[in-house]
Amino acid sequence: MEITVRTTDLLKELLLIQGVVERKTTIPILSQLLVEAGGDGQIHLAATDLELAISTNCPAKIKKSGSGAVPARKLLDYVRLLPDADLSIKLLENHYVQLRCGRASTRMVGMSRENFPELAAFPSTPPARIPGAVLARMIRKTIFAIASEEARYTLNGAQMVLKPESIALVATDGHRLAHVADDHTAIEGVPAEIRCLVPRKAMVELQKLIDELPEGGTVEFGQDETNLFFSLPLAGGGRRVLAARQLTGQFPNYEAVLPKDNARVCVLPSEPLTQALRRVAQFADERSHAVKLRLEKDHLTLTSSSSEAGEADEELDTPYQGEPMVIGFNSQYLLDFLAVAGSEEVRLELKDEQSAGQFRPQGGDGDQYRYIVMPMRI
Amino acid sequence: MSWSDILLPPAVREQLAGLAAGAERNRTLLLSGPPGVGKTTSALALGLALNCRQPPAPGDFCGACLSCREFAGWDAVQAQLEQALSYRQEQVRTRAKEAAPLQVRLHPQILYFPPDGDFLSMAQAREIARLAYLRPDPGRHWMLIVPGFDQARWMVQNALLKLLEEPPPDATLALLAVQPAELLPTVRSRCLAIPLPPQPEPVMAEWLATRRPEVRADDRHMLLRLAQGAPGRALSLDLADWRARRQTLFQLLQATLMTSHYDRLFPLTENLRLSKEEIEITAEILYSVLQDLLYLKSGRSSAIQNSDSRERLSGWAREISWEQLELAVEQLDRLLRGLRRNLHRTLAWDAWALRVRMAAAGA
Repeated sequence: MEITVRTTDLLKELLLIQGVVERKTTIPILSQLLVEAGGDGQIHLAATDLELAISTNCPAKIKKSGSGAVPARKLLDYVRLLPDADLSIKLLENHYVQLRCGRASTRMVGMSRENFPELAAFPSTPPARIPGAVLARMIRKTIFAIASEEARYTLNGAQMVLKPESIALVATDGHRLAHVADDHTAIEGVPAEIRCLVPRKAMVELQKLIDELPEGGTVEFGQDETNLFFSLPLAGGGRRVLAARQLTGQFPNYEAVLPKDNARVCVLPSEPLTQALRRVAQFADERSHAVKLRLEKDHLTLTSSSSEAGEADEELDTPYQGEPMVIGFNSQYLLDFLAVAGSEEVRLELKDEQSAGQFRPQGGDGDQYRYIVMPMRI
Repeated sequence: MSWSDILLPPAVREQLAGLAAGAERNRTLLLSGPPGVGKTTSALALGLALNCRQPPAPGDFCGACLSCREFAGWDAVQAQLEQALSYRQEQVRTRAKEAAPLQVRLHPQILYFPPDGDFLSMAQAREIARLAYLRPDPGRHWMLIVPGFDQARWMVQNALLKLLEEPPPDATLALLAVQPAELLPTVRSRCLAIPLPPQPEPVMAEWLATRRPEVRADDRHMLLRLAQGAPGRALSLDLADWRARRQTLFQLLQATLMTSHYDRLFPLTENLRLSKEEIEITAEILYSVLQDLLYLKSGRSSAIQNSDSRERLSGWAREISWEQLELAVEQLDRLLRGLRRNLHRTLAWDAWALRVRMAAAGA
């Protein structure tokens, strides 16, 4: 293989791919990047950590086609130090890779292409087409609620529900649940309902890929029995494809826990609530982050106390007219929601001190966004 | 290559092939038996059978299909393990054991998690669970092999309980143990126990003649005895190395049992200032010698393992008393237990030799 590529073009793709390169591994081939040069004026790059795989293209002048595995991190570290110029990459004997850029030259120790894991191909069935902006927004609104506990693997991802007329994403860690649905966006290529579990790591990488998508771009989605595939078009032709191994197991029946009769409603301004929560949380217990919300006629009082730090309280005005009540929540959970709610005001809907509270943006971007948090006994 | 080419007790072979063929699979197995008896081989073969694309018979594997060809090889474990360790040492410098849990990929779906240091680490246990809950490649099945699980700390065993209780449908976990009784009862109760008994000597003799034809007949006989029905051990045992190590031990035994000069004793124990692994090998040789002395004293001379030193051992067997022999074994057990707690190696051998010597002097 012998090719010439622009360093800036290559660097852009290398940066996107690094998220799935397994740097800390005892399986050496997983720290390598697969480079393939065909006859289409593009080089094909791919990396995998056995859970995720990303493949992408980069325009190149191809003198001789071929393929090889190159240490991904070393290649990135080297290329990012090069100026914007042509870089020639040549595969030598014994899997050595020679790089030349201007007067700089290096030889890297690569590995045999044969050892590189086989990458799953995008299924041949017609893909679903999801607007990139919608998907990115929904990921942002749910990703923080995904469990990081190792013991509950089915919660280590978000459930995506695709219907011809809507898309929804749900994530929970057992203490809180974020549910977002867009009923206004038609999803092309979805003949019937599709439900799948998208692993958290895949959502992180997908978000990075969508950020590079031109405005109005769509993400093509497909799945086979093992993988979920997200394919995004590249400006210069070709596609970036993220393949994520599906998690086994059933996502819990979350619909059963969605509150139905939380009649005590108060509407609060997002920004003042965020600021007040941040201040009060300073004095919350370091492990539980618990804050108390006292609802009374026309105002809400936030309080916290810890034996070591001291105590704090802060009052906010709200047009609340219901019965007084006190309820405890993890302040960090509330701040996570407020950071992505995307509205000037939020609705807090409660039933009693022992039942889950529901938070929703008041107005906002049109998404049906619900955030359910279990209360804390304080 | 198929099940019929692997030396396993027929009942075990049938059970494993049945597991691979069955629609309902028990997916947590506890394969137990002495070192070299075939635990790893059984688990690898089961992994191949579960993934074979063209099984010649239900539950068997062909050795020729795409999946079988992706297998790194029966002898690849050690080489790949060494490669993994050296790669990690070079590449992952900070908190390497936690950041890069030790694993060896022998096939796209067959992963092997050897003890990282002395035990399976918590990071490895987490990695096993993480992988098990991911879907394997289409039409394939994960086989996750955990050797030496009886050495794993209880905390680590507990970390896998949920996975052992309800393994995902596309994953089989093979726990390998020399001493299954050392495992938590909660682990044992969640696994299908498959004990692998040693092979009968005639079966081993026939098999070894085809596998190591270059070995002289008398050496092969000794190999058979030393392997004690474990095919893996018969294949890997280096007789020249065994004899060299045994010579050092013979000198020590001679000095311990027959000499009253302590100044001759301690220079000999200096020679045993070895690494922990080497001490375990040395202790194994010493056990075999002590067992031979026991056989000779009880008139079962045909059962001895170190058959090439029959004369010397017979002489010692006449000299040594039953009490001395019992004490020597007890003290060796104690030495090995102490080594696991990082006892000073030379001092441990000094103490062993002194106690046995004092008992001999007392007698």
